[in-house]
Amino acid sequence: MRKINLYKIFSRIAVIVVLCIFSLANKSIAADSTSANRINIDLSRMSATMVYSMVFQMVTEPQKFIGKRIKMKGAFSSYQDEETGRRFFGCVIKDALACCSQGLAFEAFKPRKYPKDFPREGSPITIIGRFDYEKEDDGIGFPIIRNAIFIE
Amino acid sequence: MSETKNLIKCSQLTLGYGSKNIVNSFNYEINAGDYLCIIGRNGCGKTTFLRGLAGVLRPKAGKIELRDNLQRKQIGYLPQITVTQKDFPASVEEIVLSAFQGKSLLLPFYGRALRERANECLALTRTENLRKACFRELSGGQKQRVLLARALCAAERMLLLDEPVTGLDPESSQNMYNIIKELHEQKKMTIVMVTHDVEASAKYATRLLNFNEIEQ
Amino acid sequence: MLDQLLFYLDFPFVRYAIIVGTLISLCSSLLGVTLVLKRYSYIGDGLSHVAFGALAIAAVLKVTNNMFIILPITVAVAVLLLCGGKDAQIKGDAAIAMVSAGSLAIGYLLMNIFSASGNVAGDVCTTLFGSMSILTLKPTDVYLCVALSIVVLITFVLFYHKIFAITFDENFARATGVNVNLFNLLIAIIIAVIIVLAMNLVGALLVSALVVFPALSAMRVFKSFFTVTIAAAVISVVCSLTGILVAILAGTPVGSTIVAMDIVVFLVCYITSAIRNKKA
Repeated sequence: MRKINLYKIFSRIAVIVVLCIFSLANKSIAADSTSANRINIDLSRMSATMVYSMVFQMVTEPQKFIGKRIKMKGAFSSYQDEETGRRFFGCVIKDALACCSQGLAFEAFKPRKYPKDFPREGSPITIIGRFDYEKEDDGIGFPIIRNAIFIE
Repeated sequence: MSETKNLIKCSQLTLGYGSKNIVNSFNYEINAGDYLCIIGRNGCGKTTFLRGLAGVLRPKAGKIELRDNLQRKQIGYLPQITVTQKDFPASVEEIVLSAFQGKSLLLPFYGRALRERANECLALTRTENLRKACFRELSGGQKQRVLLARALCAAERMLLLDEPVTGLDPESSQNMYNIIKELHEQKKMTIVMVTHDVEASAKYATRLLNFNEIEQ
Repeated sequence: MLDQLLFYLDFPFVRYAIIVGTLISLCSSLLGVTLVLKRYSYIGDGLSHVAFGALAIAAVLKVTNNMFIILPITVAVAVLLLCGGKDAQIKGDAAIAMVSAGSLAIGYLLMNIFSASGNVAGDVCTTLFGSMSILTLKPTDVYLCVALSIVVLITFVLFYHKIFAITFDENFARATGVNVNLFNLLIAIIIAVIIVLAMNLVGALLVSALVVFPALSAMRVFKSFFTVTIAAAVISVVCSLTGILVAILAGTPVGSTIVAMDIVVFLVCYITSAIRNKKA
């Protein structure tokens, strides 16, 4: 049982990092984002195992997915980077052991204020957005869903 | 017997496991046509000596010479049955054919000649009707006879038998002794048998080797 | 459900998982019979822990392909454990317990201290229980797994009779002139390769289940070595395939789902043989 607890503690920290949660700092809103409404990858239709593997693919080979429209369903999560003060948002798909939870960071379509304009931490959300890969200065990047819209 | 041919000559033979010597500087000769019974209490080195003769255990010192053109592949060996084998899922045919693996066959199947030879050996030990049977479902006596057939497949001139009747009921034991006697008399096999059965040894053996009397 | 399955099969990594999973389960079942009969089941378990430790070392060294570290280390330990034999200072089960628990500890320690990936728990979880690893193979891993599986299969077919002879009676095989030491070495190497392969499918802790269950199931029902070997292979492949499909459809961890399938088949075989024995 102690092993499982350890996993949980690690996973809490790990999920946050792996999430690659990102700030709201908004860039120009692409006008064409509504023109192509077809969804390329629908994670909301997939089982937890498939989502995990899919997200793994996205992280390891992001260039294959850039520009694809992605739909996903998960729990809302947010986290503030203590160094930069930027706030990151994520959509997390939990698994039973919580060690293999997967999630993607997202960036909302319209500027919103935190916490007033966002769901409660952990509440279910469904988002649609375009996949992008954000490179950081140190060369390590993370996937992010841009221009995400919330679906009720 | 007017002329006795040496088949095996052991000189200054030392056998053992690890740092422990079990047979020490032992000299002995085995002649063609012998029915040799080796007796002695447990742990005196009978089985170790037989393992040495069979080539399973390398001598630590001294040597075992094969004479009169005797070759390793003409010596058949019947080891004591192991716990693993009692529960082993294998057909009698598979087990008997495995005797030919010493001939460095790499084929995934056995040729017709080998199959016929295997059938002959099964017939000699009166187990030909068990060819397709499952080994672990056989009685103790049947198991021993199958293993003897396997030894025969690998042998032409000499048989080394390690306690072939231990654990068998009187009838099966008698059966086994009859088959061995036949092999000795009709097939002119040289027999070397480790046994606890002093009575049968006196009855069948042409020579007796008592390991208790050997100065170790 | 079929629609869903076809939808999933569109993704190349799912197809890779099915191909590699089939090959790995085929290989692992073949030597399972030998392992069980030679009373080596626990060695397989120990070796998988060694492979886990080696994986951690590979992660620390940041090599391009983990396999190049894991494979040699596991093979070396397998050779030491299986062929060290009678002269070894520490014997049998104690050596295995020592090696397996030791490498598990070192592996976890290294992963915690040095891991570059943020998700240590996920890494540990997936390498120990094979939650997802088969679905997250890189193309190079896929090729390597396929190549190694084919080598194992060819070796097994080529030396099938020798392996049988040695498994059934090592002493007799030695007496008839089979180079038992050489083949024991070969068996040890194949076992190590299989363990490393199988770790991708079910994770380090569950490897021995993948190796042992199909063999035990087949041994309950079938009576010759040949039929047992074939049956074990079929059982293993069927269980792995259904396991993978169920796992991706139902969202359960791949490794434990496969092992659950193996357990179900074992129970069926056990009951079948029990009923048959009662009738007989």
